[in-house]
Amino acid sequence: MYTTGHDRDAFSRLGKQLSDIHSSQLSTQLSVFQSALINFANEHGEDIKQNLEFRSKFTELCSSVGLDPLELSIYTNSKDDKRNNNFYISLSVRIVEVCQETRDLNGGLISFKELLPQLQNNVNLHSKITDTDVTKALEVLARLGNGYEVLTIHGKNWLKFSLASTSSSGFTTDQRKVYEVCTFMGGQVSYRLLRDNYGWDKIRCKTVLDEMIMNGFLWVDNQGVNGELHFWEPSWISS
Amino acid sequence: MEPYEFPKIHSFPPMYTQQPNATILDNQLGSWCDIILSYCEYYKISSITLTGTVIYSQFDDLDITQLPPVFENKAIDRAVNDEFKSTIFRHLIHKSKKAEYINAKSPEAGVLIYWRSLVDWANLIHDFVENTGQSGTVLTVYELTKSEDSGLPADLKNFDYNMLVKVLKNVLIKQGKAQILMSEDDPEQIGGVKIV
Repeated sequence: MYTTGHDRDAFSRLGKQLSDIHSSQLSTQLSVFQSALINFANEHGEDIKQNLEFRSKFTELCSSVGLDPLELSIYTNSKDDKRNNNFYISLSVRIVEVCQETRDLNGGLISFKELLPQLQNNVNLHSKITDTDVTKALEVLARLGNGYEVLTIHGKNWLKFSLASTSSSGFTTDQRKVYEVCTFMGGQVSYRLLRDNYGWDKIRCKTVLDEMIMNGFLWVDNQGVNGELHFWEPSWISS
Repeated sequence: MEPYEFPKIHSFPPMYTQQPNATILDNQLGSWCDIILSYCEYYKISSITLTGTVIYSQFDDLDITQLPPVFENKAIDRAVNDEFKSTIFRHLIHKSKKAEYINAKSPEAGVLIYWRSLVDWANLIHDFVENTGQSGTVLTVYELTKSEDSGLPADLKNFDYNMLVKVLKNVLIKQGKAQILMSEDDPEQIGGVKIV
């Protein structure tokens, strides 16, 4: 009996050893492949850009091995002499991503100190992303509206963002429309109502509603029929 | 007894969902605390579980299982989930300071609700004892909370034993106005109280 138990232990140790070796080999291969792709993108960046079919195949390949094409684009365009427009466009997309991911936590105000490390999270850049880079990338976004604004507070840079460009009253046209639905729906609104009334897609609805929740213009109700989310204007309570 | 009439906000559907906006959440928790306090005062409820089940009411003819549940609104088909209930009670205990765990080591035993402060309760007890000329006399818990013919004020009738212990230990004894004697049968229970 003792021997059998002993053997079993030995076998399982050996098994584990083999699978460890196997998985470490695989991850080495993967990282070799990843760096090969990065090199490739470096050398053939222009071709990838020019040839649409090539680019889509290449992007597919990247995602299948866990390389974010966006980060790759930041990476390949990040050499000091080559920090071109593409670099700033890619960077601006990353900025929007980071801002959206962290909005629930920071309410739409993020310090450069927090933002910068997140921008170069998975990419091993030739040189670090600087405040100037972010400012330049934001110039790209500025063409799309004035939702992003750099504030300098006590010598430190912050990025303040609100997705829809706000009018002087601090209330956007979309937000006004949401409240319009509320007034004829007994104080509440849902994705479905916004879609049916204004033909807004999910992203537009979410953008407006999230912003309004954050500003305290709407309360969330997650117990609607079939789990449908409802959003209520708080003035209902005193009406 | 007429059922308690909840304030309008109790019929506001999002009240039953924990709000993601921190400022709003703080308001929401404050509103829940107000509701709990006024509900408990109306029914003279002194203790309640973390899920909102009433443990004790001073009205001895009240069927506490038949009360309208505080965390539920059938008319709009909404109910607070247990996790959010705990958050509300934590707010009531730590922020509003209008409640305490009956036993801090086992929160599931429920909380004491202070719609009347411990100091106010202490004054009521002290005044009763003084006005009836019983200062310095050893009184039983029965005499302090149940007795029919001793001029016991209605507010103290059927006073919750757990609450009495809190009032004695946290206020009257600290003020030097009370001494307690433990029961001979059960050393965990108060046998007599001397108020001066």
